[in-house]
Amino acid sequence: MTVPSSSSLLDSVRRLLEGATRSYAAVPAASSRLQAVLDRLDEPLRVAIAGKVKAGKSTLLNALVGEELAPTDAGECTRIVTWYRDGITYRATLEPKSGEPHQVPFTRDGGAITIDLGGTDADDVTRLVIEWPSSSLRQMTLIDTPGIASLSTDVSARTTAFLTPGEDQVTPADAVLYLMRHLHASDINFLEAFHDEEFSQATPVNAVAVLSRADEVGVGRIDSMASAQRIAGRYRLDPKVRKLAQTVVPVAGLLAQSGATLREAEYKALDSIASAPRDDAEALFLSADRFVQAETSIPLTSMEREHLLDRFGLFGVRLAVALIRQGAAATATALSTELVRRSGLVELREVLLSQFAQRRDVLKARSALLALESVLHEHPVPDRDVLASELERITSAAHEFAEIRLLNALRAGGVKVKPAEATEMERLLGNEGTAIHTRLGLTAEADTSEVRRALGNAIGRWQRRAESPMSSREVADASRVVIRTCEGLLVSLG
Amino acid sequence: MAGDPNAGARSPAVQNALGVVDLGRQATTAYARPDLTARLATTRKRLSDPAFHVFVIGEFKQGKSSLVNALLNAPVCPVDDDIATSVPTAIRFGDPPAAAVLFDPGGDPSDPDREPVREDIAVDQVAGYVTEASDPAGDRQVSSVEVSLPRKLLSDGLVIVDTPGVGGLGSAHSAATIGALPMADAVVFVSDASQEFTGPELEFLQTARRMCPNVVCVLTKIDFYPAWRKIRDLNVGHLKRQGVNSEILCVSSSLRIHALRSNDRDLNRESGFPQLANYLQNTIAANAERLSVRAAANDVVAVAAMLESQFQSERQALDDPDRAQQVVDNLTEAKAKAERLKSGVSKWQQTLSDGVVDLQADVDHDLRGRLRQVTRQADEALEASDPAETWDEFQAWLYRRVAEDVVHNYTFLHSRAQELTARVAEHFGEDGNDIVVDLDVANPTEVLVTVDANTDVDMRKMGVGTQGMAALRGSYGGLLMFGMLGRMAGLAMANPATIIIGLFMGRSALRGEKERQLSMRRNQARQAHRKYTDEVSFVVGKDSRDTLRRVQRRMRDFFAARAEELHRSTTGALAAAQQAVKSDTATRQKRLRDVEAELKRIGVLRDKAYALAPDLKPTKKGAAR
Repeated sequence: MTVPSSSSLLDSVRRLLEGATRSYAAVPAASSRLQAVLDRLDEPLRVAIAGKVKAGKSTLLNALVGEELAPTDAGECTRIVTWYRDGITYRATLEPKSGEPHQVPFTRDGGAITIDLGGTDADDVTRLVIEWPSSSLRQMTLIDTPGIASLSTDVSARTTAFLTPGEDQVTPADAVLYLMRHLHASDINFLEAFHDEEFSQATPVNAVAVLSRADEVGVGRIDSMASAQRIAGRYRLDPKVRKLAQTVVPVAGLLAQSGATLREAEYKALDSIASAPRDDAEALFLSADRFVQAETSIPLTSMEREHLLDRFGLFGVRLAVALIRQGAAATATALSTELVRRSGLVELREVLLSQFAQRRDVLKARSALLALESVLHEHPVPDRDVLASELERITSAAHEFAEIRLLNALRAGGVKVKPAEATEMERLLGNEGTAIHTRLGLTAEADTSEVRRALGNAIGRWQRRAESPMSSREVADASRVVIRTCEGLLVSLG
Repeated sequence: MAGDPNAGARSPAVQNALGVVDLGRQATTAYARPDLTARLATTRKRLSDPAFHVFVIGEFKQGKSSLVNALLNAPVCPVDDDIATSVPTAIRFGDPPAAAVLFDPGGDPSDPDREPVREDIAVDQVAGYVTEASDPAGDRQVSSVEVSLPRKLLSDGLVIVDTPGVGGLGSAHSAATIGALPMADAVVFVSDASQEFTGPELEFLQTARRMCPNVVCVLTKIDFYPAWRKIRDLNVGHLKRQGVNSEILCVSSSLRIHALRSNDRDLNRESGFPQLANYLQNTIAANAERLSVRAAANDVVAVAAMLESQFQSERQALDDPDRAQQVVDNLTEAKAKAERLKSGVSKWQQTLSDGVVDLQADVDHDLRGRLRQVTRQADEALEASDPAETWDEFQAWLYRRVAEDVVHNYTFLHSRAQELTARVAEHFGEDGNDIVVDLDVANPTEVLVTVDANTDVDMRKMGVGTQGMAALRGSYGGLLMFGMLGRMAGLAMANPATIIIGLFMGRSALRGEKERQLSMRRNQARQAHRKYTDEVSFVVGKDSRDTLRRVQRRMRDFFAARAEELHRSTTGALAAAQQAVKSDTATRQKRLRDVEAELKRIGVLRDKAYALAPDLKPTKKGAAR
């Protein structure tokens, strides 16, 4: 039995779409939509950043790009959905609700981009697309969204809408990052952070919860990130979160952004604080006001200090100074690396680029097929039955879709198995990474015979579970999906 | 009195007022009016042992507990990055320090005699009882914690209540906080400088203001957020748009702790706490003190008027023997009226008992109407989804919706009870006036009416009403609301069977079976939420009935005591007048001199009371006689 690799799945989906585009050549509405779906198959991963007002969405976006692009401010800031994608040239395009998309002028002031809407009201804009040549954006397209401001209106309607599984809809993003600030576990708002009009169809396999502004958890104490890790760990085990997101990662956005864009002059300034007498430095760290205004022996002007505070925050400055003192950051580059590592950004990027990128082709194929399905439904053409049966064939033959469905069901608590079994199933299905050793819970050094043995064991174990008269039907079905996955892995070993 | 341990800490104004009250008590004892002596004893107690509650409220993790700790320079309220305060903590004056936990007694929530169980604990154990993590209380549900600390700030009767954080309007905690607010004399609304007020925060603030108009906003953590000035200005703007012209106090708890530890005055000033303490002491506490001194003065004036009435009538009878019989006739009639005022057929008694019955029906109707609406919405939501998948969210939604409605119902009860008190006071006043006219003496209720006429709260224009309000306040469940809502959330709701059959089957296979199962699940869910709203309706209905019963009892006792005083005064006056009619000229002259002297003495007492609160003094006509 052979398992189609995801690239061959993508190939057959592409062929089907190309066929459909030809059949629909005469229907402009449908063909342009199909062309868009086709184009999307070759695009980089689309990551949407969603969350409540002031959760730190734009800051995180800048950190992921490694450049200060999105404007950030103490007050509410982002008002229009903005796409940041890699391009050959620097360009901003405005897509109004009615009318043709057109280029708009922009300026870059002190880093952040300021767009001139040219008199168009923000409410009439569907989205802005910023094309920006950048290696980070080549890996993923980032979508910045306005915060969810009002939370209490029409809750029941939204609850219902939100809970309707999005299996029949096309998601605009491949992955969604839900930013939340530290909230109460028993609080309903905790869940409301996930309510978002446009991206609400996210399923646990493509959503990651980010505990943002993690440095504020401990109000800037030097061990804040440890506290944040502990809290993220608790959320990860919360069934309500499991149902909504694959994992929870704490990120100190400001630290990540400034760490990634650290300048030599800033390093020198931080170094001068680190090399000053400890008491002098401590006197500055008492409060943000003192840091800027206090008289001190440290050779930095008030303006220079204000700049540092702006860029790093009190926590960032404290941490950077501690790192330099300990000798953990002898150069600007070393400090930059260390700050980014401690901000949690590396871990987040890892989650996005390993777990999501590896599953991306499957998710893309799935959303492409869903789009095609709705086109077929809306626009009858002579070829429709042929296309529909081909679509049905691909859908039912692709084991990947069964895997995704099972993963979703497992995370939603829909398959009644013991927690340890659920964890093993999720791991075998590639929830923690799709490398074979990761799936089997082995180290990277494991040799082929070891892997083979582990796979054999897993298959045997789940076979027994599937055939046990004690297993309910759903568990038996789930076990068979896992067995097929393992068999596929065995085949791939050759 | 000498036995009062706190008396030394009282301000001169209160000391002064206590002196006048004691003088009044001497007079009432001398004139053998134990009813008036008892009234002044209550006045004295209220004056010497005042308690005004300042509630610290706000969203979760805004630094409420840190603020309380820094304000009092004592680590009473536990502070943690993750774990939050889950029960309210009341901190009052006391030396030596002490603490006690109030437990929910358990058992049937509808039992009217349930009283919280009180248990003393060591002060350093408080942390264990008020957070959600550790739980030395075991299975017992903690409803609140009380701490006493020897702090100067608290010595004037200030009680600071740290409340659990709320997550927007409608969570069980915020419902409980709002439910307790009628007990508060002032509210400190806490929000940190990380961001401007959010929609839910403003909404919560507005609701809180409806329950307790005396609100001050505090911005915390200003040491950590460089942009705190900008946030403050944004917040002031938000408040302005809501029609609130209030400044925002900016504080840093960590700077304050640091300043106290290193004894650094400048740093302490920077922490913003001196302003906050100053505000609490000089605005809130001083205002509360002014009101209580005024109430005491008012009581003394009323008592003086009662005493005076006897001598006034006697003097009239003595002064002009020809009119003596007419005075006796008038007084006889007044006495009959006072008797009626005392009896069950009086207008105020009718108003009160009818009012309570009506109010009961209205509150009940309101609750039922609201819960019916919830049931309808719940049914609609279930019809549109599969309970197997949506149950958890549905349950959370239902809890929250119901908690919200219970609070609205409670607010309704609160405002209607206030209206009723005002109406009863008004009717009592009308009849009282009548008697006073017959008595032909300074009108005690008229004096009462002038009380607080210059405060902007309408309800307080009524003198009798004000005191009625104070009585009313004590009759609320207050902090018990926290316990009640906790129990409501604890009421079990059966989870409909979550069989997701056919998850891995073809789409068309077993469609009929799937639909049958879905409708079964929906039915189970419907039954579960109906059972829940039924239980809530039962528990809350019982609670509001109890509250109303307490309100009724307090009102009745309060006004009956006033009626009794009037009755005694008319009886005394009548006896004195009759005596005067019988006596000969020489005795009459001698008695007249005595009476004049007594009247002068009472006049002195009344003037002293007016000196305590000069604005109480009626312009011209009241004092003229």
